[in-house]
Amino acid sequence: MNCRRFQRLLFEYVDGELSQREEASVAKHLAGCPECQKLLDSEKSAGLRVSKALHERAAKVELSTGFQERLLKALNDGQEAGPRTFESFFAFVRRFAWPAAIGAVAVMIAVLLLVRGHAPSDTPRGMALRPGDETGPGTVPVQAALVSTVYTFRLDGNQVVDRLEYRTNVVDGAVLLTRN
Amino acid sequence: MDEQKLAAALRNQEPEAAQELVRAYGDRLLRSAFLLCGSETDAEDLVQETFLQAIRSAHRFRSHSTLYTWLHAILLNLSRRYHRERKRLVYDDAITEREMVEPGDLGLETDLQAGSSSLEKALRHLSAAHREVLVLRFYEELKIGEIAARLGLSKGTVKSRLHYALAEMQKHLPKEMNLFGTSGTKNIETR
Repeated sequence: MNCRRFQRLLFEYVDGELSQREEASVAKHLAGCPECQKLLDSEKSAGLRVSKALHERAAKVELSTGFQERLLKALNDGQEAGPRTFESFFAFVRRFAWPAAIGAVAVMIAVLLLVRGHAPSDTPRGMALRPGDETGPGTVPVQAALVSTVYTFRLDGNQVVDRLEYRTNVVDGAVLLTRN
Repeated sequence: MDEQKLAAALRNQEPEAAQELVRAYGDRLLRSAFLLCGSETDAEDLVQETFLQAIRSAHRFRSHSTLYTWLHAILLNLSRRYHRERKRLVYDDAITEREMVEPGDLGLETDLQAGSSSLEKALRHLSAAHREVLVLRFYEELKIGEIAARLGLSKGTVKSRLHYALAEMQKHLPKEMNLFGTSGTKNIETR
């Protein structure tokens, strides 16, 4: 048993939770180490004073009159008492965030597959046209839709007013097909 | 009503069970809640929510712990959520120009400021995590192993937080309330 080891076991020693062997080892160390004995005394003393102060302050606190009535009313109403504005806000986000994200990814994958499916099978190569390029024979019209989720919220007094929207942006274009 | 009968009454959803639960544990729970959050008003809200959750989930209560231990576990979870949500409020757009509030200052409003003792002022400097272990150790009088189990932490973490909490309290207390006598905390290993 050295000082470092004793410091690690200090709380357990105070709690009487050490094995007989460990306790004997600590007692022997303390008998020969005034610094550790002083540390032990300090910790015990500090603990007692903090404990006393906490108990004294807490003793002044009591349930307000009407607490039981409010509790029973809340039970009967089936509502949770107390502040839940932000609890419900974050619960809402948790509830919709993942489905919204998965939905957006699924739509994007579907769009990509749709665009690829329009190309004729014997002429796989295509070149996207830029706005202003001429279209005509050999071009394939393409429409891409990108769905984005927009979640907005604001505080209105004690309430959170929130809204989840799906916005679709549609882009029309064309792909020029070429033969090698 | 003894504890076993009360637990049975709660499971059977007997009407007087809720009242008896409040009568038996209300004040005790409130005092712990107050020390955890620093506000009498918020503490009462936490206790009310604790009882509501307890009564609604009474069927889940197993007699291997006491009713108070079970209630206090619910309270601790609610207290942690309370502190998390209060921390998020600090980052609201409307107050981004204010300097960031130290975690230890959150939740300790006028209840502790008005006529508060030196010890309470020192408590304000502790984060929720450090205040938690301090209250469990020195108010609820739990052992290290019990605190570790209650909070889902290792014993080492609990001890480390306790050392830190006591050192912080020492820093912010006036000299005449020196907790540690002459040796202070210089020999304490912190992690």
